[in-house]
This record gives sequence, structure tokens and C-alpha cells, in this order.
Amino acid sequence: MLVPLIVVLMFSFFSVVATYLAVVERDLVNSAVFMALQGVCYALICYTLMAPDVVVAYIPVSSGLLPIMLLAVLRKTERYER
Amino acid sequence: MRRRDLAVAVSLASLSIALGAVFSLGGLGVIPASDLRGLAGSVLKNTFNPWSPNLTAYSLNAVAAVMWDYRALDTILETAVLFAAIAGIATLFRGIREPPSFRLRGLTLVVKASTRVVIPLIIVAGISLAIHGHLSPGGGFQGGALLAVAPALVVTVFSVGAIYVAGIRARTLLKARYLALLLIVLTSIAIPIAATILGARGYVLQNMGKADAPLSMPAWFFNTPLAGSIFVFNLLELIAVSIGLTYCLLLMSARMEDIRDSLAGDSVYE
Repeated sequence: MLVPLIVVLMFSFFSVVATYLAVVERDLVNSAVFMALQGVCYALICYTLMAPDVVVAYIPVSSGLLPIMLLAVLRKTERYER
Repeated sequence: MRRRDLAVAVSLASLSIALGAVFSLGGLGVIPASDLRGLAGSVLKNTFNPWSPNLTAYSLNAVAAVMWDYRALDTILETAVLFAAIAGIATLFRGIREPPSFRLRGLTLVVKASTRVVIPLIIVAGISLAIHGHLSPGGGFQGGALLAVAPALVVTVFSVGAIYVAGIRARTLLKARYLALLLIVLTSIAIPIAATILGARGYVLQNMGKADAPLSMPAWFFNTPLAGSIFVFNLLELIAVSIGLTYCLLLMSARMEDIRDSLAGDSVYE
């Protein structure tokens, strides 16, 4: 009972850190990477809380499609936030 | 600057963890009950229960049974949301001509060789997630999202030209997606139509036979549970979602010159 609690606490901690860094980061490519990291943390939390159906939808969307689409959009606009 | 960001982030995370601890330990917030609610209990009891043929869905995965049988209308609306989003993107990017010549540059040989190994694995995993969606965790949307990662990797590693060289066009993808959505609608009204012809009663989105509507979708494929319309819906949703996401990706990776050319003749944007 203690191990799932520790895993959930640790990854929710990391996810808040990654979210804050994704918001304040000036280089938007790094920001997309932080977003993918946050998605991985949420997927691990969902897996620990016994929601595998959510996990298999969340992993490809958060760490595959979303960063790639963001990078494709960034290529057409500007990489650095002013 | 970086160290300051990290310090703020860590203190924010500690604050949220501490707030969560206070809420759960002190009983300030809503704490979910530890026993099953009645609705969840009846779903778990009936999701695969051949001794209760009027309520069961013959689906071993209770989540798939809720998504496509007990609460199928919610999932149809969810599919409609994705349909509207992709229709909006298709309208925004209308009239883009495909590039006249492709330069296949891509990344280095190491990345290309390893991607060639990974892509078949992703495709097989995506299809198996969808067609085993009623037996194990997974389903149509999950499988479709995983399957759409394969063309995304191709676009990133081999460049967009590789997709066009393989003979895939954005217009064809949109037509295939509309066909899959049309088949979803036809599957959902198949039983009422058949019931009307046979002179019985049937409901829209009905899966297994009910007490007053005896018609049902096939529940078994030889000795494997097929879960009737759940399997069909998962398969069609796999096609619709993967093709829709690939279509978005193909439009977003169009070159900026082509997009500007297609917008130049439009008076709406001026």
C-alpha cells in the first residue's frame, strides 16, 4: 500500500515542476519537451491508480503526437518567445 | 535565471503536495468512498455474464462495455467532437496544393534504420489494442492514437515526401475518414432497421438482445467473446481516429510557401 502512494507522490511532484518549467521556458522546443515529461508523469500516475485504459490513450497522445504537432507548428512560427 | 526557475517550480510542487496532504488527512475535501457504488457494481456484475443474457455485453473489459454499450451515446458525441475539430482544420487549410517535387532528406542513417524497425511494431501494437479492446485494456481511440504515431515518426524522420511517395494523399484520407464515420452510424442503426424489416422491436445503439427486443449482434467468434457491436465500433474508431490524426499531421507539415499560396487568393483573411 505504501509503494503506490510514494510513486504517486513522487510523480505528481515532478509533474508540477515540469508544468511550471514548460510555462516559463523561453525556448519553445524545450517547453514542448517539458510538456511531454509532464505527460509521462501523468501516465505513470494513472497506471499506478489502476487505469490502464487511460494510460494507453495518454502515452501516444502526450509523448508522441502532441510534441510532434507542436514542433511542426513551431517550425512555421518562431522558436523563441519574446 | 535557470536556478531561480527550478527553485520556484520545486516550491510550487511542495505547496501542492502539502495542500493535497492537508485535504486528504484532515478530511477537508471530498474523500471518495472505498466501497463500490451501485452503478459500478451492476456494470462489473453484468459486463461478461452469460447467465444474465438481457443485461450483459459479453465484453471482458468493463471500460469498453461502458464506452460502446451502456453509455454508447457519450462516445458517439465524443467522436462527433473529433469530427468537428478535424472538419475545422480541413476548412482552415483548404486549397493547399501538394508540393510539385519532393526532396527526401530526413535524419541520419542510424535514426532511419532504427525507425524502420520500430514502425511495424507500432502498427501491430495499435491494431491489436483496437481489436482486443473488448478483452484487455485498450479500444478504438487508444489504438488509433498509437497507430497515428507511425506516420508522425515517418514525417519527422524521413520528411513529408515519404508519405506522398507512398501514395497517400490528404484528400483520400479525408474520404476514408468520412467512410469510417458513416459506417459507425450505419452500425448503430443496423439493429432497428433489421428489426423493422422482421417486424420486431429494436433500439438505436443496441448491442445484445433485450427482453422486448430480441435481435442481437454476434456475441461469439468461434470460442472467443466478440462482444457484438463493441468489436465493430472499436475497429471503425481505430480507422477514423488514426486517419484523422494522420490527416491533421499531413496538413500541419505542409510547407509555408504552399500555405501562403493557398491563402493568397482568399479574400476572407484580408
